[in-house]
Parts: sequence; structure tokens; C-alpha cells
Amino acid sequence: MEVENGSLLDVQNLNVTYKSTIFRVDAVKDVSLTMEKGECIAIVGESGSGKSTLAMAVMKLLPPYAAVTADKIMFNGVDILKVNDKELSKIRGKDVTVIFQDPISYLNPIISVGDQMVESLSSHNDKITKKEAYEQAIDLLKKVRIADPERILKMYPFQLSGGMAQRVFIAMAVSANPKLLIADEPTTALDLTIQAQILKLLNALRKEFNLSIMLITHDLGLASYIADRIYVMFNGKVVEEDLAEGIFSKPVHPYTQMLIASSQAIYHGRTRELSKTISEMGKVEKGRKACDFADRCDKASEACYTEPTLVKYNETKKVRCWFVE
Amino acid sequence: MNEAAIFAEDVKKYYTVKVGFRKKAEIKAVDGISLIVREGESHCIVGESGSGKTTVSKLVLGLEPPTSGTLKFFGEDLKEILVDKNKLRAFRKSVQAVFQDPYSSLNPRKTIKEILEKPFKVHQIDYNSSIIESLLQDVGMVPPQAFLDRYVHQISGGQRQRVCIARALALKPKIVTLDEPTAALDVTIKAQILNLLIDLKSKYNLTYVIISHELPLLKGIADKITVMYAGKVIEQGPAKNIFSKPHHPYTIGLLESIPPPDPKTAKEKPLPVMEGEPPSPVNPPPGCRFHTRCPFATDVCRKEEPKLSEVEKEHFTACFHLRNVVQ
Repeated sequence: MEVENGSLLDVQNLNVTYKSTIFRVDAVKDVSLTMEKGECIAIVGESGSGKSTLAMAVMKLLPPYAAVTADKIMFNGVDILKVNDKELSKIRGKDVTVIFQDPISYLNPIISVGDQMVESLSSHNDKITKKEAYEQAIDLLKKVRIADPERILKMYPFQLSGGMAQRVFIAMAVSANPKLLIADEPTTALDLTIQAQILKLLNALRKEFNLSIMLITHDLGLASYIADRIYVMFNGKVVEEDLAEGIFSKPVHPYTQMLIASSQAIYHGRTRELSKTISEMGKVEKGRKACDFADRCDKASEACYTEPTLVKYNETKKVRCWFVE
Repeated sequence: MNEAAIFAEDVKKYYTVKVGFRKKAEIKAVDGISLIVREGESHCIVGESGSGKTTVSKLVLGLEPPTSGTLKFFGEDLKEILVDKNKLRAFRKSVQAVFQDPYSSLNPRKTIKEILEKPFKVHQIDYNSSIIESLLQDVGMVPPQAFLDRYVHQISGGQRQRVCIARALALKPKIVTLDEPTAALDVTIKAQILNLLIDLKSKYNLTYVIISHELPLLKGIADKITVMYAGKVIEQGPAKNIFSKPHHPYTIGLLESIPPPDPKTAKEKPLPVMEGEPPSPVNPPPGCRFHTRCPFATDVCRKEEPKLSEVEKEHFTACFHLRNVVQ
């Protein structure tokens, strides 16, 4: 299905709640996001901020105990909230693919890389013969810069290094010419030099396949390298969104400011210059509802006992904070 | 002040592994490294996975004896320490560790008070509640009374790492090894823990051995840096020199492969990519171990192994093509 007009992905007011008989966690609260075709966005936040849940919820990849509600999830002209499972599985793996942090555990350990790739290639194309699929697998591995694809195809996942497995995984992800690639912390488990290789590869594939990438990361360095726009998440909510340049040149939300200050201080080895009040906790009176960040915020005041909403700051930026000049 | 806290000369650690029914192979995890850590210094060991840096930390902790070579702590040989019970007890007290993952290195069934009492009980040293409280205070967990009776699951990741640090400091050690102390933490917490470590170092008069794969993180804390690659030291020297003027192509590549957290510089300056992957420690390539990935490699590198040579004062590099690389 091709749609000429409109965004690739349009999510409005998405909420995700994990429920069981004993607990209830609101993992994602009231998140709206849009992606244009060919655009690359990064969702940045610390662990537990709901960034992975958000990405998985968009494709309904969450377990049954996660309740997903939204006003709208439109992907490429298809209403994800309304389609049935059969149609959804056509979109998943073909138009939208996901790569994960730990590729080795997502590959089947007892089937060779080649057989797995052939299987995934034929699952989206009934007409392809096994031989053709194999040839195509070789081509794909060449595209992800694997020097000797024939040898890799004979190997089993446990024989691959982390970087190699991630390349295989990326090759499988781009095999069906997807429109959207969701990359969930794709380089966290890798060494720095391998991380640089994978980043460069993703950037090259983006141009080659005209891919849109949704990068989930906690690393602002990765986000600045690859993303056009950045969503900063804190405790399940988007606290600031803007073009990548705007997030860095004029961070407005105190959490964004803190995040950028910390990562730049670490990058330049100047952590001593960071203000010391950062960790002061327990400012918020117990039992009263407040802005989620108020407890760690040095600007927090009485106003923060009313939860702020995400408001437009300028053409591109939206912020969730009362203290916006 | 400048006594060598740790002195290692040509230390090797090989592990034997089964690779088939009867076949055995040797993993050369650490293949002849030398280093001197002076008292009060923080010495950082940097390398990728498989470079042998964690093995070095195990050796420094005395958890495993080296296969060959000399390893001395304040002038005493580790071999002698390991056979003498009294010496070993004192050694264990003076060398403590903080690990990467604060989630798995604390007992979930114990309260923080019990966790911090344990080192005193093991070493049969008297303690009282004010000592425990001041430990918590020192690692920035205030007020300490609020944390004493909590369990590990009731505190955050950053606080867990603080408890780990407090436990390591309980017995007033001389040397603390920190194995990726901030890798599992969020960015904002990382910076705080780093600052805490810098403060504690002067307060407790500590010597740090920090194992890490994140070079920039060490800028603020390291006095000396040893860069390891496939079990070998390829560059060693004062941290300032290594950051401002790295000599080995691997160190240069490692420093440049981190995207800066700033879209302007990140997008203008494309990442230089070192192709290939680190070699297997079972079967390292002949000659210089880095030659398979090095843009400067020539025939010499494939045949002969470069020795560490002094390029500046106390700054050593193992490379045949220093002149080309620096240009």
C-alpha cells in the first residue's frame, strides 16, 4: 500500500499500561509522535523512561498484559488500531522491521544463518525459490559490508561475534525493503569501534534504501550522529521534542539540559564543572501529585504541583514544563 | 608517596579451554604486560571486549595467580601472599573491588546495613552504627538513617553503585579496582558517580585501578592510561598525553570512534571507521596483533612484533610506523 500524502507514522496520545493482579505500571503516557518518509528520529531517555515500550507499542508488539490505548496510530496510511492480526503481520517484518540490542539471542541458535535468512526471505515472497533466496541472502550480506558472505551463511549464531550478528540482523531487517526500521539500542552491547561501524552502516543503508529509522537510545552521541529530530522522554512522557540541532543548541526542559550537560561533560572530561545539586531528592511532598521531574529539578516550585502539558515553544520545539521563558 | 602500589612485569595469564573431544587450546588473555601503579594514582586500563582488561583486574585482585611474570603489591610478591594465610588476609583487606553491575553484586535478601556490616564481620573488626552511617554519608547517601533498613530493590541503580563503593571502602583499603564502574548507569548518574569517585580518592587516600572501555569518561579521573589490544599493551602513558597526543593508530581510532554528543560536530565530522574486528585470543595473528585492522600496516607488522618504545617521557607505544601515524 502506497500513500503519497501524509506522514509515514502518526501516533496521537498513546498510552501503555502494564497490568497484572498485583501491579499497574503506566509505562507510556500521552505520547504523540510523527515521522515523515525518510526521516530519522531518536527517542532518548534513561532506563525505565518507556522509550522501548513506546516503539514496540507502535507495532503492537507488546505482550497481552500491556494495555495499549491511543487516539490514532497511522502507519503509511494504515490504521494500526483497526487492522486484524493477519494484516498486521504483513506489515511487520515487511514494511516495519526491528533490530534489537542483543541480536544473538533473537536468532535461532540451532539453525544456520543461511537457513534463517532464506526462511525470512521466503516468508514475505511466496514465489521465490530456495536457491534464489540464498543468492539474495548473499547480496544482502554484501550490502551490510560482510566480506565473505558464503562463510557466514554456513555459521550458526553462536559462532558470530556481536558486531557480525548485528550485521546479519540488519541484513534480514532490510531484506524486504522496509519503510521503517526500529532500532532499539542497536549498539549498546558492542565495542566502540564496532559501534562506529554499525552507525556508519545504518547511515549508508538509510540513503540506499530510503529508510526511515526510529532509534531508541540513551546515548546522546548516537542520537546526534544519526537523528534529524529527537524526542526526550522522562518517566513515560515526552518532555521535549525538536530538531536535533534545536535540542542541543537550546535545550529548554531542565531534564534535557541536565542530560546534555552530563553527556558533554563526560565526553570532554569535565564532570567536575557540573553543578552539585543534581542529586538532591525528596523536595516533593509525599502524596501530592506533581510534575514527574520535580523531585530532581532545581527549578521546582509550588507551580510544579500542577502537572505541565506539552506545549508548543516555537516552530519545531515542544516542551513540557512551566518554566519556559 | 611514590612507592609502587602495584608492580607488574611481563605478566601472562593463559587459560586452557576444551575445543573438541580431546583437543585443548590456550586462550592468551593477558600476554605479557608490564605496568607500575604508584600509590595515590588512578591507573586506567582501556580496551575492547576480549582485550584482557578484566583478566588484569582479576590478577590485581589476587583472585587468580598469573601464569608467569612478576606481580608485586607494595613490594610483596603475589605468589608469597597467596600461600601465607595472614598475608592473604591483610591483602584482601587492602585491595577491594567495585563491579560493573550493582544489581547483581549486592545480596537482594540483605538490608543495606547488613551489607555494609559484612566486611567488618568477615575480618573480625569492631564496628558500630556510626561507622556504617559515616560510610553512607561519604558516598552521598544522606541522611544515612533513611537507607540503613532498606533492601537493595528499594533503591535506585545509582544508589546501589554508591552502596557498592561504600562496601569497598569499609575496611579502608589501599587499592580499589573498579571494573566498568559506570557502564550500567544512566548518563546523568554516570557523571555523579565519577565525581564521587574523584572525591573519595583524595579523602581515603586511595589508589585506583579502573577498567573501562569508554575512553572519554576517564578524562576527568585518570592519571595514567594503559591501552590494551588482544592481550597486549599497545600504548601506555600519562592520561593527558594519551588524550592530547595519542600515538598508536588503535588509540587514535578508539578516541575518534565515539560520536560527540552534539549534532553539529557529529554530522560534519564523519566517524572514521576501523574496519574488522579484534582477533581471537586463542589464535592471535603473528606480528603486531593490530595489523589486521591497521591502515598503516606493512610487511614488517605482519612478521615482527613491535616492542613498546618511549615516545615521550613515560609515554610508551608499540608501533613500527609512529612517524607516519602521528602525521
